[in-house]
Amino acid sequence: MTAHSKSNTASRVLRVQSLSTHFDLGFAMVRAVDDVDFEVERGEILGLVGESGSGKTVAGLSILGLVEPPGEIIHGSVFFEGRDLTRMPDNEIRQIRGNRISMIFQDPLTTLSPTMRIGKQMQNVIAAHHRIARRDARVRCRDALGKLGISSPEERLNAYPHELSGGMRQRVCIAMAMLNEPDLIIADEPTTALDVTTQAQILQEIKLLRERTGAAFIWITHDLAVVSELADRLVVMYSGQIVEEGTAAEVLSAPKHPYTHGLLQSVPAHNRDLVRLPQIPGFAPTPVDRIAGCKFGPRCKYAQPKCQERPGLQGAVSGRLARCFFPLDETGDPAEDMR
Amino acid sequence: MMGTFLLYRTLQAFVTLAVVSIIIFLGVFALGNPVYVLVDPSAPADVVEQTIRRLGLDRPIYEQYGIFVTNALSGDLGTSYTHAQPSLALIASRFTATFELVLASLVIAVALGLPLGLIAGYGKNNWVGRTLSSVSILGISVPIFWLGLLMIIVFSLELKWLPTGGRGETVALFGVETSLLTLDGLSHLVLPAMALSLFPLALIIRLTRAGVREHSQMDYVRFARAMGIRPAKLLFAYVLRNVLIPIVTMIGLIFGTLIAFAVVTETVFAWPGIGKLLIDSIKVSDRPVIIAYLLFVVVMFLVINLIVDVINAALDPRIRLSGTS
Repeated sequence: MTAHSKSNTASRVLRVQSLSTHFDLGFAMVRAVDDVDFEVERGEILGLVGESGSGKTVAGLSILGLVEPPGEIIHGSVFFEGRDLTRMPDNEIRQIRGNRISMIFQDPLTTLSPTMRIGKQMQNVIAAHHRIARRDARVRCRDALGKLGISSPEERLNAYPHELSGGMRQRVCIAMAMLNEPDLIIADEPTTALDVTTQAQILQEIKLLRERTGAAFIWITHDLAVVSELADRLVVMYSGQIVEEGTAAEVLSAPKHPYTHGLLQSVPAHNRDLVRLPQIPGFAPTPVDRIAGCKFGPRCKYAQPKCQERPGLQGAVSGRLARCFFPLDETGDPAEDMR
Repeated sequence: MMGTFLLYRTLQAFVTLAVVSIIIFLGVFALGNPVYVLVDPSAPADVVEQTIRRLGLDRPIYEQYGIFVTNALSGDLGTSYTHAQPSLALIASRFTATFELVLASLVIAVALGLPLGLIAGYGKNNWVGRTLSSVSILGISVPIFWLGLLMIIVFSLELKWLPTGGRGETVALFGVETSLLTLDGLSHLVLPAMALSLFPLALIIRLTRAGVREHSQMDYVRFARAMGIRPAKLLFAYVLRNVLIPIVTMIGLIFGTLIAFAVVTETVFAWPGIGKLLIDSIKVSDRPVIIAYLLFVVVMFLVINLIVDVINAALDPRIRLSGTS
C-alpha cells in the first residue's frame, strides 16, 4: 500500500493485503496472523521467517484458503492475478491449488497417502486440473521426478511412500507441487525434518528449479541459515505481525528490528570462539497474551517509554521496513534519537 | 510369500484347535453325566449301565479324549445323542440358515453404514453427523429381542407386510438349501436380518465417522487439498481407503460374533439356525453336538481372521503377510 507498492502489477505474482487470520478457541481469540501485508515478485524466493507460533505457517495456509476451523480469515485479501483468493468460491480456489499455486509441507513422512502408489498420487494432481491421457500424465510424472534428481523414476512411480526415505519423499512432494508448473509455491519448512546433507541437496535443486521454471517461492522457515542461502527477500514475523522486511542481504547484514538482530546474534557460526551464544531474553508471547504497545517490547533491551504505544511498519527506503520506533543502524546500535 | 503365510497360519490353526479341544472337552465333562438325560432315571440299573458302556462314558477322561481325537481326525465328531445324526452334519445343515441370516444383516449394515458414516464424518461437525452419532448409540444399546418383537408387531401383525417367522421356501444351490433365491425365502429373511443388522450398522457408522474425522485432520489430506484434488476424490480414493482397514477388521470380528450369538434373533423369529441347535443341545447335555459346535466356531474364527488379514494386506501395502511376528 504505502511504502512497498514499488512493484508494478506485471512483475508481481501475489499480493497479501491486511490479512488477519484468527482462531476462536472459545475462551480466547488467537490472532495467529494479525494485519499482514506482503508481496511476491515473479520468480523470487521470499523467505518468511519466524519462531514457531509466529504465525508464518498460518499465513501460508491462509493464502490458499486451507485454514481449518476454528481458524478463520476475518479480514484482508490475497490478490492473485487481480482476483481475491479469500473471496473465491470453493471450486474456483480448488482449481488454483496445486495448479497455479502449490504448497509443500514440513513432514514428508506423513504428507503422502500411505495406501496409494506414488505414481497414482502424482497423476491425480495432474488429473485434478487437466484432461490428459493417462500415459502422457505418467510420462510427465516420471520427468518431474527425474528433474529432482531421483534415480530410476519409472520404478519410483510404482513404489508406495513407505518404501522411500524421508528425503526421497520430500522430493516426490516437491515434484508433485511443480507438476502443473505453478507460478508460486508455498514451502512450509520443507527441509526442517531432513538431515543436513539432504537439506543442502534439496536447496540446490530448488534453486535450479527456480531458474528453469521461473516459479516464485514463499519459503517459510525458522532457519536463518537456510534463508541466507536461498532467499532474495525476507519478511520476519513475530507474534502474528511482520516486524521487518527487506532484501535478504540487507536484513541479514544490517537488521533494523531488535528482534531480527537478536535472532541473528543467536545463530551459531563456526568461525566464532566457543563463547556462550547470546539469546533473546524471555519468551515469545503466547497467542492469547495481550500486549499493549510493541509486542516485542517486554523482551527488548532497548525498550523506551514510547514503546508502550503500538509501532507501525516504517522505513525511509521503499521495501525496507521495520516495526520499530527506534530502528537499529548499520552497526547494530539503536539510532541516535533514542539516547 | 503368500504360500508361506498360509502354511504358517494352517499350522497355527491346528495348534489352536488342539488346545481348544482339550479345554472344551474338560469343560463339557464338568457339565455332569449326560446319561440321566438320555435314560429314564427310574430305569433298571443294568439299562443305565449298558448305555454308559455303549457311549464309552465309563472310561477315564483321557481315554475318552483319545477316542474323540482319533475319530475327529477321520472327520467324525460323534453322533448326536438326541438326533441320532452325525453332529457335524447336523451343524452343517443348520449353519446354512444362520450364515444366510448373518450375511444378509452384514450386507445391510455395510451398505447403509459406510455411506452414512462417511456423510456423518465429512464436513465440519455438521448436524447430520451429530444426529447419526446419537442415533447410533441407540442402535448399540437397544436389546435385540425387544426390537425383534416390536418389528413383528408392526410389520407382521399390524401392517401384515412380512411373515412373523420361520425360514420360508428354500431351493438347493450347489447342494446347499438357501432362501436367498426365492421371494418367499427373502420375505422371511428381511425382518430377522434387519433386527440383527442394527448393532453392526451402528458400530460401522460410528467407526467410519471417527475414522473420517481423524483422517481429515491428517497431513496427507491437507497436502492433497493443497494440490487441488476434488473433494469427492479426496473422500473416496484417499480417506476411505485408509479408514477401511480398521473397519474390515471389525467386520470380521462381528461376523463371527453374530454367527455365534445369533441365537436371540433366531429364537424370536423362529429361525432354524445353529444358535437354536446349541441351546437345545445344552439343555439335554448332548455332548457331541456341543463339542462339535464349539470347535466349529473356533475354526470359523480362524478362517475369518485369515480372510481379514489377507484383505487388509491388499488394502494397506505396509502390512506384510509374514509367517513370523
